[in-house]
Amino acid sequence: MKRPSLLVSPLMIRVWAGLFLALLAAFYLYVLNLAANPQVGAAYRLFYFEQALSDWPGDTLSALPTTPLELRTDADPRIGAGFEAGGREEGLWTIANDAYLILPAPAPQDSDSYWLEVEVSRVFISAVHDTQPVTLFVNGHRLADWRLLTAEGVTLTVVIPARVIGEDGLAVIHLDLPNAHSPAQAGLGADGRPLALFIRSARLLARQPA
Amino acid sequence: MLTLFLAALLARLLFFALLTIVNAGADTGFANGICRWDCGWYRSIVENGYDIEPGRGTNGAEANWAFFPLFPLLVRLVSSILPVGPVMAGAALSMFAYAATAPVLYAGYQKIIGPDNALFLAAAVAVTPFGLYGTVLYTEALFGLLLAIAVTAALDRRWIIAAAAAILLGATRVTGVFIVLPFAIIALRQFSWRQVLTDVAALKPVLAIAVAPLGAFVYMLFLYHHVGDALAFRSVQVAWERGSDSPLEVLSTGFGYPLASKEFYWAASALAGLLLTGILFWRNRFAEGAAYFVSILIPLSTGLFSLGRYLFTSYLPYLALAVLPAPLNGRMFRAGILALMLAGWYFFVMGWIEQARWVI
Repeated sequence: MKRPSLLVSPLMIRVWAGLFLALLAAFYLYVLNLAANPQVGAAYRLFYFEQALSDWPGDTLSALPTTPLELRTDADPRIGAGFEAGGREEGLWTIANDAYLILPAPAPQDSDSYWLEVEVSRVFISAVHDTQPVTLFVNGHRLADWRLLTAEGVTLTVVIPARVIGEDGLAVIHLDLPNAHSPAQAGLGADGRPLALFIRSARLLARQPA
Repeated sequence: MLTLFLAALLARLLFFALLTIVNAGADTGFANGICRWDCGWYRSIVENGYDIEPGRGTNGAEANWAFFPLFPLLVRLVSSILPVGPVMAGAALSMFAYAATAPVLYAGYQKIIGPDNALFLAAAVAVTPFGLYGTVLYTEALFGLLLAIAVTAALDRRWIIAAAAAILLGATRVTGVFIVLPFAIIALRQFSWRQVLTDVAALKPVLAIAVAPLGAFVYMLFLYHHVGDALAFRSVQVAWERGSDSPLEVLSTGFGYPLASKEFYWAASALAGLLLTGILFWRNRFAEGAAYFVSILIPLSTGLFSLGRYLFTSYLPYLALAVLPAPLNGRMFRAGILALMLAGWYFFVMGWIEQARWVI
């Protein structure tokens, strides 16, 4: 009787299958590792991953102005997701629980810290929510918490350590606004947009403001 | 088998003829008339390959990465062989794949659910109005055929064929990788745990399950080298404002819309799908029930959009109808269902030509 070849014996079949499975597992792990470490530009990261932008910015992020940002129109590429559309003379409302501004770090870029000023000219407070808590993140780092108790304007100031600014030189300002709610909810009209802050301007400075 | 294939192909050709005749009255041109919505994305891949950067849609962030590569690759192959453009090549490929599904199902299920039930299954798949998507440049027909081959081959212990179909399934649509779930259920009904660990014969299903995600992973590798993000097919969903949500929340949102709205129709489709899933489990079709449940849950957790198409183009809901017990398997009942499906052709043809968004 002819003996089966050692290569196709039950034991060897298991060995071959095991080797194949190990190879396959290594391939899957390799691809999963690539998936966990995407190599993408700032525009891709901000739009798809962080959802900080409402429109694809194209090449505009590489040439953002460092001048103070006046929120008079949503056309400025530094105004990200979470702001009302359309132009106004005196500022823009945040219209979601998350609002974003993308500000380039000004020169000199070797300073230890930057100073961020966000000028809020109105705070939406009603019987539904009589305070507006605000948490500020810069590039994912939680840097400040405020609780705004009145509707009056206020300037929010925060020191940003230079290490928080990435190689792309951008500061992605994320305002977390859990109490955003609509005038309609508060019985103050038909506007159904969840409002929180009416922001007039924002600026990122290399030196402490006077 | 050939008769079944030809009958199913005739149904597709009739549907295509209806689309063409109704479209003749429109001034959009023939190719544009039968190429709408996702067809445009597949066409872009066939003609220009995958986008390197986004740049489409109102927010400029849409890109064709969401569409898996096997179908456009095959369309490019067909259009390079036949003297037709991608729209017609895609329609031809879809019709062929859709027609081939009927005999595959009959052959695969006749011993399992009986020849009469299997014949009804093949007939329902051939005449469903959702076969619209098997008449145009959409991936549904190829996905449906590969799913039918994968599951019926696995049920018949032909695991090498099942594995090959599963790899291709994963390269056709993201939900293809979840074929591992029905495969695991089928394998555990054919082999005990002890056999899986000790019997060489049980190695085949283990290997089939292991290789099933390969098609999707190769596409991920391609995306990483092409755009830097292996999950670009998922990332780009943000451009369509599709995120992750609780399926129950999405469903209840849909039922909050007016009765005649597309959102209500999509939510009702999901509910009908869940009901049919229940029938599959009740009738001991666990592998198919699990496959169908996953194919409902995944799109439902990203929103309501296109749920009708996602849930009723594969054979699984029709299998649920085919395994209904008496008196719901009588000739009259089945004739009624098939007649309703044929009547549905009118709405789908008109919806497609008039660009009604519920058809998307």
